[in-house]
Amino acid sequence: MKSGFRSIGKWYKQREYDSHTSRLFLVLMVIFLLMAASSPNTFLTRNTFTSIGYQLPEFGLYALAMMFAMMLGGIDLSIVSIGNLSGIIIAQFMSQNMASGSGNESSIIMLVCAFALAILTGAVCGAINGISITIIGIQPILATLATMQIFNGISIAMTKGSAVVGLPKIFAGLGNNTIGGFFPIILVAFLIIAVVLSLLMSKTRFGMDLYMVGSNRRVAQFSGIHCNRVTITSYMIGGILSAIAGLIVASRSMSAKVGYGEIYQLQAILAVVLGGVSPKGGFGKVSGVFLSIVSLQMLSVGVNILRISDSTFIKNLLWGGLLIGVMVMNYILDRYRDHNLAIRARRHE
Amino acid sequence: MSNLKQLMKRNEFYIALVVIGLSIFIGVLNSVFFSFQNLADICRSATVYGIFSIGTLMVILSGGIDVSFPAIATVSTYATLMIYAPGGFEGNIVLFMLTACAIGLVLGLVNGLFIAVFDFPSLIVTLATSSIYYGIQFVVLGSFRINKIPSYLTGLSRMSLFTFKSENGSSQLPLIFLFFIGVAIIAFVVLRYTMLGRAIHATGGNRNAAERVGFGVKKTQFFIYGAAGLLAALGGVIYTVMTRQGDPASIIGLEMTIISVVVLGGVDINGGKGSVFGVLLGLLFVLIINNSLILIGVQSHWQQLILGLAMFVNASITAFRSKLASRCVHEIDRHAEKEGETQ
Repeated sequence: MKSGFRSIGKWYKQREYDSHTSRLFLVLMVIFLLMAASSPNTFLTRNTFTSIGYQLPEFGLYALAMMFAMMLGGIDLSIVSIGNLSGIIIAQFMSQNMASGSGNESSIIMLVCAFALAILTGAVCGAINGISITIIGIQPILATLATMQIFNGISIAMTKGSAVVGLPKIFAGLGNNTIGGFFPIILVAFLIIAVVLSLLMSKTRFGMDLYMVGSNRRVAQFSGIHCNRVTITSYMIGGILSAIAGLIVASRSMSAKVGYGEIYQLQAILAVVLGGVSPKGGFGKVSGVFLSIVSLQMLSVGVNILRISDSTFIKNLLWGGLLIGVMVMNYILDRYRDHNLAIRARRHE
Repeated sequence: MSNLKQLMKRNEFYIALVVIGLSIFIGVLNSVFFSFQNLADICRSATVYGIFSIGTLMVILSGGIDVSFPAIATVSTYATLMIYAPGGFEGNIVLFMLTACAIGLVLGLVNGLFIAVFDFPSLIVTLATSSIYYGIQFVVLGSFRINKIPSYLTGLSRMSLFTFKSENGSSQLPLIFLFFIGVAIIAFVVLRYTMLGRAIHATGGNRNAAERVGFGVKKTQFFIYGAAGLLAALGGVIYTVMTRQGDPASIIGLEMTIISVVVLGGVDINGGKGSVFGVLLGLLFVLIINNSLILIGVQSHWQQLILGLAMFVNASITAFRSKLASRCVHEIDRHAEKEGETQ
C-alpha cells in the first residue's frame, strides 16, 4: 500500500511539467465530491449530467477558440461576435430559403449549405483578425476589440437589432436531439472536435509551430517557421470554432440575435486561464481547458440544482473565486517548487 | 514651425482634425448640431463616460487594463444606496460620495493587491474580480432596482450650471458636469506635473527600467488601481444621480466601450503613451457618433459598425506608423554597419 502511494507520488513528480492540469483535475474531483456529498439525491442523477451535456458544447467551443488566440500570447475579444454574426447569417439564409415545417431531401441539402456558410463566415472573420494582427501589425487585444465592434455592427445593420426567427424545425433537431437517447448530438460533436484539436496540437507540425511561435516568436521566425501563417491559421481555427458555437446557440434557441451569450466572451478567457494556458503564450493543452470547462460547468449546474439563491450570479462569484484561488494556489506551489529546486541545487554544489 | 512639426507627430492632432471635420460636416448638413441643446446633451452624456475613461486611461497608461470598473461602480453605488436608504441612516451628499468612493477604493485596492503583489496579468485579475464583485452584488446585496434615492441626490440632479430657454422648452447643462471637469483637470495635473505621473508613465513604458531608476512600481500600481476603483465609484454615483434610480444591471458591459474611447483617443494599449486631452477627443468622437449621426439621417443601427471601422482604421494607422518608425531604425543600423565596414 505504502509503495503504491510512493509510486503515485513519483508519477506526480515526473509529470511536473503538467502539474497545472493535474492540480485542476484534483480541484474538479473536490468540486464533484462536495456537490455529490451535499445533496446526493439531486446531484447524482441522470438529469444533472444531461443538462451539463447540453450546456457544455457552446461554452466549450468558445473557450477552445479563445485558447488558440491565447496560446500565441494574444487574445480574441471577437469570438462571441463571430458566433452571433454567423448565426444571424445562416438564420437569415434558412428563413429565406427553407419552409419552416418541411423535412425533405432538399432541406437537408440546404442545411448542409447553411453549415458550410457558417463555417465560411467564421473562417473569413478569423482570417480578418489574423491578418490585422500579423500583416498590419495591430496588437491582438486592440485588433479583436475593433473587429468585435465591426462584426457586431454588421450583425446590427443586417437585423436592425432584432432577433431573426422562423427557422425550420429540422434545424432544432441538431441542438436538442440525442444519440441513443442519452448523449446529445452537440456533446458528441464537441467531444470529437476536442479530440481532433488535441491531436492537432500534440501530433502535427502545425501544433509544434503553434507552441514555438507562442513561446518565442523571434526564435521561431529564425528557425524557419512562417509565423504569420501560423498566427492567421490559428485565428481562423478560432473563428471556425466560434461559428460552430454560434450555430449551436442558434439551433438551441431557434433564433439569432446580436448580443446572445455576450457573457461567454470574458468567461472564455477565465476558463482558458483556469485550464493552465499561460496568457503570455506558449503553454497549454486542450485537455487542461477541457477539464476547466467541465469543472466550471459542473459548478454552475450544481448551483442550479442545489437551488442556492440567485444561481447565475452565485455562479459568477464561484467562477471568479475559483480562478483567483487556483491562480494563487499555482503561484504558491510554483514558488515552493522553485524554492525546493534551489535548495536541491545548492546541495549538489 | 518646429512646434507645428511636433504637433504633426502627435496622435491627438489627427484625432482633433477628425473630430473637427466630423463636427463641421454634421453641422453643415444639419444646423441643430451646433445648437445649445445638442451640445448640452453631448456634455451630459460625457459626464459618466468621461469619469470612467479617465480611470481607464490611468490604468492603460501604466501598462495594465481594467475591466472591473463597471462592477466596482455598481457594487459601491448600490451598497451606499442601501446604507443611506430612506428610513435608515440619513447622511448628506458629501458623506454619500465619500462612502461610495471609500468602497470603490477598497475594491480597487483588491485588484491592486493581486496585480502588484502576485504579479498576475491585470486583464485576468480584473476579469475574475469583476465576476466576484457582480456575484457579491447580486447574491449579497440583491438585484432589484432602487427607485427611492435620497432627496439630496435628486436635488443635485436638478441643479444646473446654466439654463438656456428657447421656444421649444429649456435645456440645461447639469451641475454634475463639473465633477467630470474636475476629475479631468486633476488627472491632467497629476499625470503631467507630478512625480507620481512620471512613475505611471515609466511603469507603462518600461517596467524594468522604471524599477532600476528607482520608481516604486508596486506602490504605483496600488495607487493606480485604487484610484481607478475610486473613480469608478464616483462615476457610479454620478450615474445614479443622473438616472435618479439605483439599477444594478444598467452599466454592465460598459468596459469595452470605455476601452474603445480611450484607445480612440490615441492612448497606446501597451502603456506609456497617451494624454487626458487625447481621451477627451476620443470621448467627443464616440459621443458625436452616438448622439449626432442621427441628425444627418444615419440610422442608429449603423453606429456600432462606424465606431468599429473608426477604431480599426485608427489602430491600423498607429500600427503602420510604428512599423515605419522601426524600419527607419533598421535603416540607420544598416547605414552604421556599412560605415563600419568601409572604415
